[in-house]
Amino acid sequence: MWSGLDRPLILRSLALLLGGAVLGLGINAARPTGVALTGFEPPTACTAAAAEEAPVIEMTPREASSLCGQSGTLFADTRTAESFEAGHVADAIHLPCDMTASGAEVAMKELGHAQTIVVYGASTEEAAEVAETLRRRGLKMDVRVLRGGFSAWEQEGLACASGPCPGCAITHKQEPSP
Amino acid sequence: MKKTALLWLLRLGLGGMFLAAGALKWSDPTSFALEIHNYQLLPDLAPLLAATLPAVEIVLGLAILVGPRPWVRASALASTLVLGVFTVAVASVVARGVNITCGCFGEGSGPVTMWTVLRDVVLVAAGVLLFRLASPPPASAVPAG
Repeated sequence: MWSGLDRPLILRSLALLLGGAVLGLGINAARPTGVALTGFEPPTACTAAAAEEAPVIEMTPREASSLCGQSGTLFADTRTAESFEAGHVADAIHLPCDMTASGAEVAMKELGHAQTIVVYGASTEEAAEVAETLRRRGLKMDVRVLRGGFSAWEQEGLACASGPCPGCAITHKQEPSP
Repeated sequence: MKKTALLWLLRLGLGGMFLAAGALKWSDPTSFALEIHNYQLLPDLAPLLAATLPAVEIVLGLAILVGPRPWVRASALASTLVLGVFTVAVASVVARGVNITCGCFGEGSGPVTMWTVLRDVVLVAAGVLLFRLASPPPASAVPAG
């Protein structure tokens, strides 16, 4: 491949790469939704212990919904019991931050059947705390965080909130009767 | 004739793929930066790459699809280099056992697996082939005036 390399060819290649990069930087600077080039931080790894590991992966609601059909996927809701009762991703288990020790043990047994856990809360940060805690407990499954929390899920109008979600139905806590 | 058909097939395939990949990453650069960050290779460069890569891919895609022959060859060379870097990145992820989404085609690209590595190797090979097919004809083939 390299035998046909000449100066004009290399210059054209560099022009394409650099031109594209400069164009991208210019448009990124001009658009309101551009990424911040300095000070970018992933929204997880909030503790020193967590930072030593790979960061918890965030997923957009649409990415998370694509996992719903997959076996071994479980959604965990970290919000309050009242919020959980008012509405949640179908077949999600309740896993609040202030869970009692015995409640946490029961939840951990349920979680142990899952290969992938998508944790969501009222916000990304709330879910990230619980996700980091799960990982620090040595769970080997894939723990992910729903970006934007349950409100983002609702805003996307995703089916799991009101429709069937067979892949999520691995374990299910019974909801209290109204 | 066969060479010309193969050349156009490669131009359409690779050019279309680059255009699609760039366009799909375009809408949400912050999410793309997070996906690059998850590779744990050059986390500090994640926002810079997220801002530039989609445009680079679109430029390369357009050059492959509609550029004149010398620019097609140059874009094939640049594309092969870019795809080579992608291949190293995904192979590294697989080797380290990091479970992340690829981000190759924006949201919902699926996880990085051995298939991702294999796909990238095939794309690198396609880039090399396009580079060779887009070469100018040898001087001896030009009839003397």
